[in-house]
Amino acid sequence: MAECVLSLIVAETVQRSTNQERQGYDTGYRFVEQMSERRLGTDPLEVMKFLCKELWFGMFGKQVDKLQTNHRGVFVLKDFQFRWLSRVSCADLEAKAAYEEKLLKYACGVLRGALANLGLEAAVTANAQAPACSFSVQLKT
Amino acid sequence: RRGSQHRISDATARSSMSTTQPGVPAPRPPPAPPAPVPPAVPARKPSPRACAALAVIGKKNRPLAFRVYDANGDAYLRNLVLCSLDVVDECAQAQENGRDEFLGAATTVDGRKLYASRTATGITLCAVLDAGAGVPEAHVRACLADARKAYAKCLANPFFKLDGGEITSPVFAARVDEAVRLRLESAAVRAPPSSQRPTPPPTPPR
Repeated sequence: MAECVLSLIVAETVQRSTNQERQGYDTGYRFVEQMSERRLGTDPLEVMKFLCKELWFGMFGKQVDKLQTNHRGVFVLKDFQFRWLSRVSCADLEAKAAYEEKLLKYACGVLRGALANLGLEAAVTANAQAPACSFSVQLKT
Repeated sequence: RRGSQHRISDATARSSMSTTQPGVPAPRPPPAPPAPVPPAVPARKPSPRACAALAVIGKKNRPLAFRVYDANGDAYLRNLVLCSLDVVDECAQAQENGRDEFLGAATTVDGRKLYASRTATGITLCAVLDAGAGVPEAHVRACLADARKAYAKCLANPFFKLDGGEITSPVFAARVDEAVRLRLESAAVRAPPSSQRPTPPPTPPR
């Protein structure tokens, strides 16, 4: 029940905001402060694992299904049942596509914000085929 | 010595001359006061608080919050914390492989211990404690964890600006004060002041 309410809130936020990425950045930045209970060190892989396990669990109640990396600063996070995409109801396919685009921008912002607060600058892009979603994180170092 | 003895004898002569009167017996010396019985409960004297200050330092060493509990040393304690940040950095780097937020007692200055904790997000929390208060480290760890949660709650407020300025929220201040009171002040082992400062042995008369 609480999850439905949260999904609604996210949906409304995403629809009404003008810059979803920026808003997501703010959300992620603040949310990760509550998540971190221990230090992570400087290894980007450690940070990404934290993101995939603890942050994802905190936000969506499940962990990321697959994490891939080329060990050169590029990570791909794959979630086969992305919560925010699993219950989307829109008038028609166009509206649905537009909404999903906004939602993914927000989600990318959340990831970017979380990484920024943990000390890693990154560019995040997303690719979705509802309900599966994959985020590509490129660290700027 | 002869001179002093002479003076003493003079004094006694004078006193005896002044007090002796015909018919009046010499006054007896007053009875020695009874030996002081140690009180069952230690006397309530104003003692310094266990925690002198609690500070939250943000990224790039920008101070976010200073809760100072010692009325006299506001500027001094602020300077103490800010100047000790390099030692805290060293501690953090020394514990690079550790997963613990709590860094322990970073330094001791002026009878005060500075405990620090650093979060994954780069926030440093420092607690300046009175070294003689004997607060166990577990309590300091819990206090700093509470302070971190208070800061996280502060951030959770979307109207709270992330500019890095000082936190002015009274709710945050109340939460931190409560954490200090609960974890540190109640846990402090208060030794009576007389045992803290050893009295010098009485010099023998010459």
